[in-house]
Amino acid sequence: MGYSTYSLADTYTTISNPDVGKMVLSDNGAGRIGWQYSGDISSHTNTATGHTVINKLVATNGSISLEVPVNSEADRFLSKLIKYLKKQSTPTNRFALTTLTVKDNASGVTYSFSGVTPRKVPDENRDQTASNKNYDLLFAELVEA
Amino acid sequence: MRETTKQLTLSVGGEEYTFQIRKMNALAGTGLVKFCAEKLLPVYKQLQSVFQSDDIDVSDLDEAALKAKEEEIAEARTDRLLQMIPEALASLTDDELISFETRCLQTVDILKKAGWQQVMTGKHFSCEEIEYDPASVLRLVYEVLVFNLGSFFGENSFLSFPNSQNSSRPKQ
Repeated sequence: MGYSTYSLADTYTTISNPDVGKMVLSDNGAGRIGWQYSGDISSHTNTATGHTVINKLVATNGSISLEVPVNSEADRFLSKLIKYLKKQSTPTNRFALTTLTVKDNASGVTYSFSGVTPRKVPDENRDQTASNKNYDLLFAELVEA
Repeated sequence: MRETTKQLTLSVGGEEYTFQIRKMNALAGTGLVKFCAEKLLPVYKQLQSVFQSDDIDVSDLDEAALKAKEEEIAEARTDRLLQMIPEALASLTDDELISFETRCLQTVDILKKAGWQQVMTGKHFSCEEIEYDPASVLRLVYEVLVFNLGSFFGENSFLSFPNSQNSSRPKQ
């Protein structure tokens, strides 16, 4: 029986904004990262006679969810990023300059997200033990290489 | 009031950036002094010996001969330096050098539109401006050392006492 191995340590996540700075999230506290496209890449149209038309759709945008421990370096950086982007004084043409890169060293695939913006300010909570904070981000384009 | 930060502007890739050097806390600072005394002082002393005056009688030389003599000495010093630098740096391992640079850069911030951002977080660069510019990195490391440790190695510091005993300059 075959087997495969996996390690989160093989995943290297970096977020960068020219006005705020750059942070290697994976080495500064970030935990789980997940992403999904907003749209479908195909759909079907059926005619009255039962003929099916396959529609090829274009979907380049989507959302990213990041889980980071409260008060980690990654949390501090992401908070600073959102605070800066939220400000009225931040020009609109500087709002979507953030990029995020996920490099999977095990498979050799690099996922490059551009036009990354926060969907909302993350929810906060304080409990007896440390918890994680969820950051919901949106991306305009994803390139896999 | 004691200054705890110092700002400087560096040109990197044709653009000017403002950096801020912060004071290390005393424990981190004394750790760096230990490293400097162990590894960098011997290197500095070797390089400094190249610039100590040579004992040459120039009283009977005219201007042209004096200029020729000065050029000859400068060329000889350059040759000695080029020979000594690799020997002196061989005392530092790559890991020691990287660890030392990282510790220094963790006290440096760069001014971005969103405010000050540390140039190094953990072992990684947090700004792209100097990430691929070794000259700027070395300049910042030098500034960190001067700002944080200058008082240990200055003229009236307790570490300069052995230097004053060995100096060949006449006291004024």
